[in-house]
Amino acid sequence: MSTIPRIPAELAAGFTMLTDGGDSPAAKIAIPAELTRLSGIPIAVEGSVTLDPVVHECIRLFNAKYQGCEYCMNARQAVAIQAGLNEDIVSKLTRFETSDLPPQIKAALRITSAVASAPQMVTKDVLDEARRHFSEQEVADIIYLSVLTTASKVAITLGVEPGKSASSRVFYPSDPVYGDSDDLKRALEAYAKKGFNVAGEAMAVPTTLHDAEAYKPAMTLSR
Amino acid sequence: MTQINGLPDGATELDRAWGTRPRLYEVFMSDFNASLARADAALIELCRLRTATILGSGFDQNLRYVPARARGLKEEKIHALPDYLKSPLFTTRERLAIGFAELFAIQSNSIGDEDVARVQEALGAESFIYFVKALSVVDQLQRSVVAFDVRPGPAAPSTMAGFVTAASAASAA
Repeated sequence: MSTIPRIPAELAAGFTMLTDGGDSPAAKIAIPAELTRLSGIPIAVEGSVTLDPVVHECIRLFNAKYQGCEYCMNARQAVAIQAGLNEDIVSKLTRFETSDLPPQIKAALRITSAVASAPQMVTKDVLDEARRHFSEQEVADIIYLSVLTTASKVAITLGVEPGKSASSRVFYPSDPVYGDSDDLKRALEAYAKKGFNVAGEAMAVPTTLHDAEAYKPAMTLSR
Repeated sequence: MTQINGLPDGATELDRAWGTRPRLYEVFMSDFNASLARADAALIELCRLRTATILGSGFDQNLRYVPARARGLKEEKIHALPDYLKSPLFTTRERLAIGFAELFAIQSNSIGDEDVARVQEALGAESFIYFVKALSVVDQLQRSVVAFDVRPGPAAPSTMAGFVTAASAASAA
């Protein structure tokens, strides 16, 4: 793992994890912003994966830890926090199998873990266990999300992963990094109607459970 | 394809596997095709076929990338891939790249500065960037293929630009 560029500075210049396109080498290898809008934020943009926000964020964060992406590890999605994600859950992701995490999160992470390590381990038994908690579409969505959240391997390998300081905050789905589109706007409106805060002030991610308690009131969900 | 029930119709099993999220599929494959087009076709094809063996993607092993053939990649070399470290058919540059692709597929976070430096020197700095990105999209597609149990089919998916089946490639040769 390295957050020190392993490629010449002039080629790494201007790299961001997401991009809407560009001619520089760094821009060409970034993750397309639309791909992240469709898969990386736990809100139902048209055509995107549709999972419970906590399950979605657990999958994303598990892969962030597995791949060693500090940028990905230190971001939190606001809608997931509002739906119940907390730092206690996050701390148990790596050793989810022996943890007291809910069975539906364990079932999802068994798929994610297999996809990331040895995809042939996505067996019928693993999927059947997931089916006890998720619909067939959701099981497919877990696979898509598990696959697409391995994309950080590029930035990590090239040493251009922006690191912890670039992302240690709560991301709202209206954040500019996700770009702009009509379907995103409709999704934001739908989430707002459910009582989620879809746009908020930049907020640091807590580093301890104590800190997490301190910032919870600002994130109260009034559904 | 037995892994997921109730998938929509599609021309190939890959189309069916990703068919429940067509917009996601379209955007992902667009990035896949653009990423492969920027890479050295013959080199990325060797790496794709090597990692297909590692990850267990028979679907990928059944496909051939036409631009790689245009760059001179022959079946003889593809068949020699399991012995790429010793076979005289492979150059040092190819051996470095394939070895790097293996690491990328198996445990990318174990790739060290020296691994990167060796391959970067062999490929050139800018080409190395595109090579790594191409490895990533190949890796992602292969993981999805294996997870969904997408099997080899009689035709290449139209979403995979420049790909044909191995049988088609052989008959065209």
